[in-house]
Amino acid sequence: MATQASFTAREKGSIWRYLAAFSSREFLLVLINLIIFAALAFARPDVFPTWTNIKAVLSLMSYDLLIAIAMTIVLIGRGLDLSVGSVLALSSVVMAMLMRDQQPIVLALVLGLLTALACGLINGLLIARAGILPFLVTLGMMSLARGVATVLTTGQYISFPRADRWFSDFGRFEFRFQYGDTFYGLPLPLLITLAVITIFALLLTYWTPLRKIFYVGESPEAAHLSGINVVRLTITTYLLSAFFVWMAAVLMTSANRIGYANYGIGAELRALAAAVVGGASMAGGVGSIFGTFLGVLMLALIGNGFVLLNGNPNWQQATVGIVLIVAVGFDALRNIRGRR
Amino acid sequence: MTTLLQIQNLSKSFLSNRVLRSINFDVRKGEVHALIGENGAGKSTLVNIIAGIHKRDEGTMVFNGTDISFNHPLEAMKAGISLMHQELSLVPNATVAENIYLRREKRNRLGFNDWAEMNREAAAIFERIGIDIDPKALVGTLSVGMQQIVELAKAISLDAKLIIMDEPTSSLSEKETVEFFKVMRDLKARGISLIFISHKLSELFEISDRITVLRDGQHISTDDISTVTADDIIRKMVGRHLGDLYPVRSSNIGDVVFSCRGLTRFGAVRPTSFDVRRGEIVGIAGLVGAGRTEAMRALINADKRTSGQFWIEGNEITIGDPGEALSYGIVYLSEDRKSSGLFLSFNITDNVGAATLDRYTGSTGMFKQSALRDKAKDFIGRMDIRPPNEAARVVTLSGGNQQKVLLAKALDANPKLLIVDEPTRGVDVGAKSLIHARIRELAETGIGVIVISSEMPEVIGMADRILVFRNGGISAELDNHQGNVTQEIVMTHAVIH
Repeated sequence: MATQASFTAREKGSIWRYLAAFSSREFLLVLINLIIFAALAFARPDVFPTWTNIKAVLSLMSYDLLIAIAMTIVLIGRGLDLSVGSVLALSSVVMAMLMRDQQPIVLALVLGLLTALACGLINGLLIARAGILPFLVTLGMMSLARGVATVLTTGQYISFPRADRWFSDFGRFEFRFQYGDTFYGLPLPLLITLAVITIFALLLTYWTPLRKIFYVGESPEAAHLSGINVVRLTITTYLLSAFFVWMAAVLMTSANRIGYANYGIGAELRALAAAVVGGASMAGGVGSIFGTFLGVLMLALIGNGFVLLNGNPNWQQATVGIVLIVAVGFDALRNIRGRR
Repeated sequence: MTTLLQIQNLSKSFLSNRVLRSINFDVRKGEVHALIGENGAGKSTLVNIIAGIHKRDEGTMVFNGTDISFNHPLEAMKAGISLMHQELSLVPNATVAENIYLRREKRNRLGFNDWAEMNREAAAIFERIGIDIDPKALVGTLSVGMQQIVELAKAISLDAKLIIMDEPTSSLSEKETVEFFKVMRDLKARGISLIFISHKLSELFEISDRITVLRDGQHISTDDISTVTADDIIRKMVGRHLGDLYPVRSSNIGDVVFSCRGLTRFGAVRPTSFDVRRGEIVGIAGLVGAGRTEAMRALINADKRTSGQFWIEGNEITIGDPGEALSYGIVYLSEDRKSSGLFLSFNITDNVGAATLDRYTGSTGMFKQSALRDKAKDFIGRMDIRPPNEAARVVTLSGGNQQKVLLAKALDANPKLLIVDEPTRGVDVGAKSLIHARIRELAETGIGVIVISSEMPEVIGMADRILVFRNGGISAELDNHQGNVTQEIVMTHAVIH
């Protein structure tokens, strides 16, 4: 009798936990986003719900989204990458300088990618092989990459007027649709971003080599004993992070038509806030692409709100700080309660 | 001699687990009182209660003529009771004097720490006990033996009347032990009482005045050391009957499936060689710290080994990492279920497939979720895992069910050699016999099994052959086909004479 009773109690508990873990966070985030959306639509019905505004929010969001995905994948593997914003700048500067010097665009893109991957590789090796704390390594890389980018450009904008037009055009290209009397433009970079992260989200769940990253993050020791190559996968997370950062650099450089050493300042904090809000944990082993997407959307809507309501836009940065602290606080509570 | 510490009817439970039952124990002034017992007999709990780390549930403690009940180790320290932990609790990057006066630094008139005075006093203590240690040296630069002496000096500087030493000599060389004993005798001569926990019987006989044996949380005996022999002590430590709780032994043990020759790991495992046969359960017994887990982890190279040669089914193999071991069908299940066995916040399905993810993967790398889920359901049925829900997170399962999940994960890797480390630690009795039965069934299918356990009845009840570990290597190989190995025999080889 006693065992029967405790068994049902335990099962009830597990189903409750399962439901909570499975649905509540994403559901809650969708709800929060809807509330912010509704509030803004109510406050500024003339501006907010227009396609022009929403398009602007979504377009600006695509850089943050790519960087937040980079952060999410590293967090899942129980790491941290503070260098995302700086590597974005360095990669952008490298590509812009090559194009300014009339090198082939493909070569510029490849070298930009290699620059980012080199940064990721150094991060990964120092963390996984030398065993240095991710916080310290990537904080150093954050300063190093930004410093190199500034030295290369002496802090100037790098424009590339003589490069092939297609590169600077594609960042602003829109597919145009007519509905009723109005034209709607769908920006190409946004479509590319959404397509890439959707594919990546599917791979993360259904492709075994990426699935293993969750195991590494949940318990590196148990993963090691289960025959999973923890060192290689940890390095892989930093390389994947570098890849997404490079994508953001390409889109940003193309849309703005300049390379600049001050791109992506503070991007690491927005990415961290969005990822943790979306369910990733500093303790590793969890995180979802959809959750991170909702986190980025939330920050973007809040930012748009400050602009539309004529608030001081500087509050936007403070808001990111508040969101980050609250989200990390909840994460810490979850770890204390959930893992005992 | 007067009594310094008198304990009567002391009991203590952790949750529903009774670890001490009505213990009576006393320490006289100026004596060395040895405390001995099997792993889990309650020695550490008892001394932790005396030192104010745990609180007792029942019973009385009289120390130096007054009733005591400490809420915090610092209170015990103030009263004159010092505990030297098994693992050193010194700060390696601080000096000797800084460690001795940690958290009770002496102040000069301006309220600053008076290091000159503290260094002087520390030097005086070392002079008194006749050991040459520089109070300004960093603790990390001292040998382990010297660090133990610093611990002792700390106790002396506290004016301790009773010093409790939990296996202080376990990591000391013979020469260091001699030095250490010299200091102990000196303290004794000054009227300080010492409680001395050790597994090294010869040391106990050398240094102590009286000896108390604990077993299963009960006080078994206290004797003058001159009136007992080592055999008496061993018998008192184990005197327990094995029930018929264990599955019947196998009659069909096959060829050698796995051989290990000359396995060593510097500083932890001395040259170790053994064979495991198909269908055989080899038990590994030994006291905590005897190098059992270390040897098995070195075998799969989870910790880098120094040397070792291995054969599986007669073919020599090299094992570079646990993944390679897995590919040869060698599976190691960690003693530390929670942190290095399971993926706690993952569900049962994802845990079952952790070591075999590649098998549930198509040629394109796509993960076959439903195949793994079916397999997990299959295991849940076969092993009676509760709740029978493959999506339940493992952290919500009981210890016994977690162990079953771990076993399922190992089985899914089709092992030829299965190494299970402490398979029933923290598992209730019912689940225990189920796990025993499963392990025996596995062996019956032709797998070679190694069971490491600190519970001697478990090793004797399960194993066809027993390897006793002592001091980093195998000290005895005992045939247990008939189940006629006794705990006394095992203990004789496990303790250091």
